[in-house]
Amino acid sequence: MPDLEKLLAYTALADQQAFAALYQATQRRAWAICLRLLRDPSAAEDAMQDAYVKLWHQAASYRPAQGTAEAWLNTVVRNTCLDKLRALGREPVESMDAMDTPLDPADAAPGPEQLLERSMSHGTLERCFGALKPQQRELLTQTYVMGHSHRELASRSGMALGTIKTVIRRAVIALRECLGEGVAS
Amino acid sequence: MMKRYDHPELIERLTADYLTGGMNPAARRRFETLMQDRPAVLLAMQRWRRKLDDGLLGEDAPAGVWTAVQQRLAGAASTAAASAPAPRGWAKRTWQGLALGMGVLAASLLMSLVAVLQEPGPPPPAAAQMAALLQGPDGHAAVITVHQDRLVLTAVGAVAVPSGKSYELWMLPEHGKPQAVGVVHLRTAETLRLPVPALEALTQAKGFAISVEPAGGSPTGQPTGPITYQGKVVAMSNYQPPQPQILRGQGGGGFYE
Repeated sequence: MPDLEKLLAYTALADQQAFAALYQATQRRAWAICLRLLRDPSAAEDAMQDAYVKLWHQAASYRPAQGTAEAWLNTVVRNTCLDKLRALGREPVESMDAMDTPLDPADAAPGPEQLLERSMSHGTLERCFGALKPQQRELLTQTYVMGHSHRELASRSGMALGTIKTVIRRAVIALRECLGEGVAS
Repeated sequence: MMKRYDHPELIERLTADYLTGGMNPAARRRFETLMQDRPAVLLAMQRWRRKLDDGLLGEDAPAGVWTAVQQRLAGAASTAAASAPAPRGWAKRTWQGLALGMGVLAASLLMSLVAVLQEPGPPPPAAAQMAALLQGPDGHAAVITVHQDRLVLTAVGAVAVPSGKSYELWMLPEHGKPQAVGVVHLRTAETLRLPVPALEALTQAKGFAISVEPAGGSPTGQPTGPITYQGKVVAMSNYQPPQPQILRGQGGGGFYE
């Protein structure tokens, strides 16, 4: 990941190459955020365009003291997508359903469906992420992709903060065990 | 002996916490410092990030998004070129030169400088031939640009002058003693006319420094108190000192007036 603060600084100085590099470094996550919030590729494309046009014009308003450049960028993208959603007359429908699934520590062993899915999937990475329980995957997505803190998630979902932390920690441990050498390679 | 942060298990756990929202802001800052200090931590973070990107982010955005962004910006630029708040040419060149090779801290400072630069203000002076970024205490900084026989000092984050003291700016030549530039206040932007000795030595300038001196400036003509800000000259464009027609002593004020 390039130095986003520096790229933002140059973007604020109307440096188009820096802006292109900024886009290249961040577009994948921005697309994931827009797609997840809008659930419609066409609307997500429109919102993502709006977000990057806004980033071009507002790059100078970023203040490092208020957080990382990546967090600021994600917030601009997320808010732009939420604006788009409202403009379309829709309410945010970001699914938290998977988070309602109770945590069951005894449920670590994969079921027949999961085993079948694993055998059919290609690649260790896909297999390991596919093996996560829906709740684990949902919370990882909420934190890593959407940029929500554990505390925000607890507030939004009504789950206890400690439970959120436990689910994510177990998801990470599960990934580490599944990926084995893969994480370290 | 293995130190605490040399344990791969701990590094992996902290890295995962960092990337999945499991750290409060203070812990995040500590971890970011750790990443700067220890390559193993940075590598672990990059490995985890790659895996999480591949596992959770999905595909790239459609190529049409970037094309549309470029078209929209090009369209906006052509219709609003006259009124666009584009950075001033001299400033852009100066700050870009200033930023080359700077690290993360300096990038943060640059961001602050962009904010300073883009505040509405009087028209720009002649092109800057020299610039320097001075780092001070507690994340404070100051930027120097030299325009012919004038020097503009812009403080990023105002600092109070110690009671009964003054801040004095010095030009540091490649060879020889520091040259006094003048007493400065480190509040927003201030302009000084370069004293003749400093002006004559300017082509040899390698940096600038600010020291704490008795009120009114050093009694000896050399720094006597602690150096609080210092930094190297980082941009220079064939500086040609103007023909001296300068008053000896300190300048200051009125450059933009």
